Amino acid sequence: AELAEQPGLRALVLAAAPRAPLRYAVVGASGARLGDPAGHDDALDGVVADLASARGAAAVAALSTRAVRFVAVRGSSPSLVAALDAQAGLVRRGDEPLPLWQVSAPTSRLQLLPPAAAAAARRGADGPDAEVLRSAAPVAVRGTVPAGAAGRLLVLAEPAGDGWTATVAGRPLPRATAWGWAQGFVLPRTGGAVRVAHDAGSRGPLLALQALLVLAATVVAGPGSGRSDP
Amino acid sequence: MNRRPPPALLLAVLLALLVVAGELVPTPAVRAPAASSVPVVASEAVCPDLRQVPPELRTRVSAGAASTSGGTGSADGRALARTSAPVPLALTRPGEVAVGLAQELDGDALLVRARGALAAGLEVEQVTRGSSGSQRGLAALRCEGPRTEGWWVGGATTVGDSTVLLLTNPDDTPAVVDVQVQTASGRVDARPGRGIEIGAHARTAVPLDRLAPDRDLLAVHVRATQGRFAAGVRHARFDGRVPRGSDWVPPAGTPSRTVVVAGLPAGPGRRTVLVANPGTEDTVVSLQLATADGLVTPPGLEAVTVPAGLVVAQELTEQLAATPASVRVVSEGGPVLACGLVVDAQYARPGVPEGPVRELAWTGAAAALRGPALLTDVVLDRPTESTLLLTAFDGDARVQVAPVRVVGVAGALPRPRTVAVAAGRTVAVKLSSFLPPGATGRLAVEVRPLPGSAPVQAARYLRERGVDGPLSTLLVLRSVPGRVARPAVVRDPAAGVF
Repeated sequence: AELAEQPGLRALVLAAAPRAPLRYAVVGASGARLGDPAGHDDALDGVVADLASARGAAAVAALSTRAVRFVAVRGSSPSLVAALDAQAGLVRRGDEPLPLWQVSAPTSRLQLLPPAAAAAARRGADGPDAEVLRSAAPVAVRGTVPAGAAGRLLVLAEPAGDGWTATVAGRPLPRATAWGWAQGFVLPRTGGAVRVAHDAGSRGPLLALQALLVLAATVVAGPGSGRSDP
Repeated sequence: MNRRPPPALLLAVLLALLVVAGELVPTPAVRAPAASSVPVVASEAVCPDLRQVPPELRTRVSAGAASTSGGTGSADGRALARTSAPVPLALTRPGEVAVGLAQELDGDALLVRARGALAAGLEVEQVTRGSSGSQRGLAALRCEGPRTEGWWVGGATTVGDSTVLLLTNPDDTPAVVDVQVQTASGRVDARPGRGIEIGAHARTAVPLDRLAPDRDLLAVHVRATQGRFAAGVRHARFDGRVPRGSDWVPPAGTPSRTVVVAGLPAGPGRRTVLVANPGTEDTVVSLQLATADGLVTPPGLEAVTVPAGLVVAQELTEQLAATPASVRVVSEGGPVLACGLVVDAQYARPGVPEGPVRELAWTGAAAALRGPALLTDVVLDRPTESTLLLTAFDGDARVQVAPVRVVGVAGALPRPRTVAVAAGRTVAVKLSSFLPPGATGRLAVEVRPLPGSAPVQAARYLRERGVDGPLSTLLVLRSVPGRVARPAVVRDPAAGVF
């Protein structure tokens, strides 16, 4: 099945409880693969732990490579809220009903890395920092990529080796792993229309139902719907 | 208000979260990793104001990393406004200090970033020296990382005093802060200080007479409603045409029931301790002095009332005329904040009458050292002395003072020295004693409590004998963060099900 058309809206939910490990889940409107306990993104534990600490790691950048746009906290934990407030790149969006932050860097399910950033991504397990991410360009899931230099990488915010394929102008792209976990595709010099697909098995009907609900949510929550401003 | 989200956005997110519940099958967590302490891997420091008005006024910046761990790292500095590319600093490993940084930056702030082994021990200081006019004085400030909340106790907006809050934002997104001021006569109207915006990579100066006109004894509370900020509070005093000194008011930490104001030097001139009560109920505090001769609570200072929302000043000039001291403020009621103001006059010399010029220096709340603290700016020349003031309230302390190499300075490093501080006492160590008698030079030192030592607070007093009067400034030492807590995390899809 082709990658769903919904924007890659994902949220990281942190559930804090006293004297217990911090529990987390990544939830998304379409194909919440990162929340899947069988997922291959083992680095995510470290990202979440870094996010809740003050060690200065590029945890927020790591979230944006995973197309996580929001972070929410369940349970009362002033220290966790303070830690997230102190993270550069997270912008507080609200307190009610849950403390909510938005990742300020553009988040996208598909990103185009220029050759230098692409080479670093293919070399190392280290995630990018905010500066590297600024050099990346978001690509619409059903968009096009321009022609460009050799060595560019198209990175999907999904764990590598999980049945994802991509084509540009109908030509299949060789797969590569970015930052040690993400599914990347090596781009040719030529550009063209991008198609990303995944053999999702029998999840089709469920995804369709979810898509419908998300559409309903978007309509209900859209600006100016049903309620006039005081 | 700023924290209010667009309701539509929240609703959409929540609905999306609900949607996913159908797909995720809750599974019991299999791993339960333990919380740990991990090294800091990247850190930032903002020097808020690099002014250069040669030859009257110069600002110098020094940076280094305390030796918390082995390994190497890198550090760079850039103008806050991003008008130029980052310049790598000549630092590669902990235990080195680079001086004379960012001399070409004028009228901007400096952002220093460190990675690797340099991040955990990063310490940056800016010192401004003005030789005449309203800028006259020495003013030192620790360049700190961006934060979301802070208190500063000190400064005034009465005639002859000017106090400015400088806010900087090193991040890519705008920051919005609320500034609240309480004074000797209570809290001021909070409305003018609400919602002050600091653009991305920008600075905003807030003259405090705009928020609290004609008030003495300020306590400033800055809280970000969005983003992060670094701040400095600059206080200058001028009496007609006579300079009365300038300094940065140091951060006052968080309100606490016990506060130690460290490093009040001996000497002629007024010594004052300010206590602010940020709570809603009056409290009574006691002031205990650790002097060179031991612990004393002067008569009348066992019980000083600090009304809610007020700042009170307690003068200690008489008690501290001949001894350095630190002051412990203990509140019987709610948490308080405290800082110290030192007004210096020239030591009288035979045949030379005391001039009218004064200099002021602020010292702040000091936490006990938990590990190495780095002092990057130690200037020793004939008119300038750097003095380390060490205080132990609760038992005998032993600290090691170890000279640190300044990049570009050749020659053998002086040997480290162990300093004993008896319980309840303050010890002053002249850092010129690390050099041969009469020698001048540039040093940096690392101060570290030895194993088994009682808690110890430290401050540096930099004092120059100027032609018209003294130039002085104080800096409270703090242990570098080194390692920070990192929680255990467990992936649990049930956490995302509402």
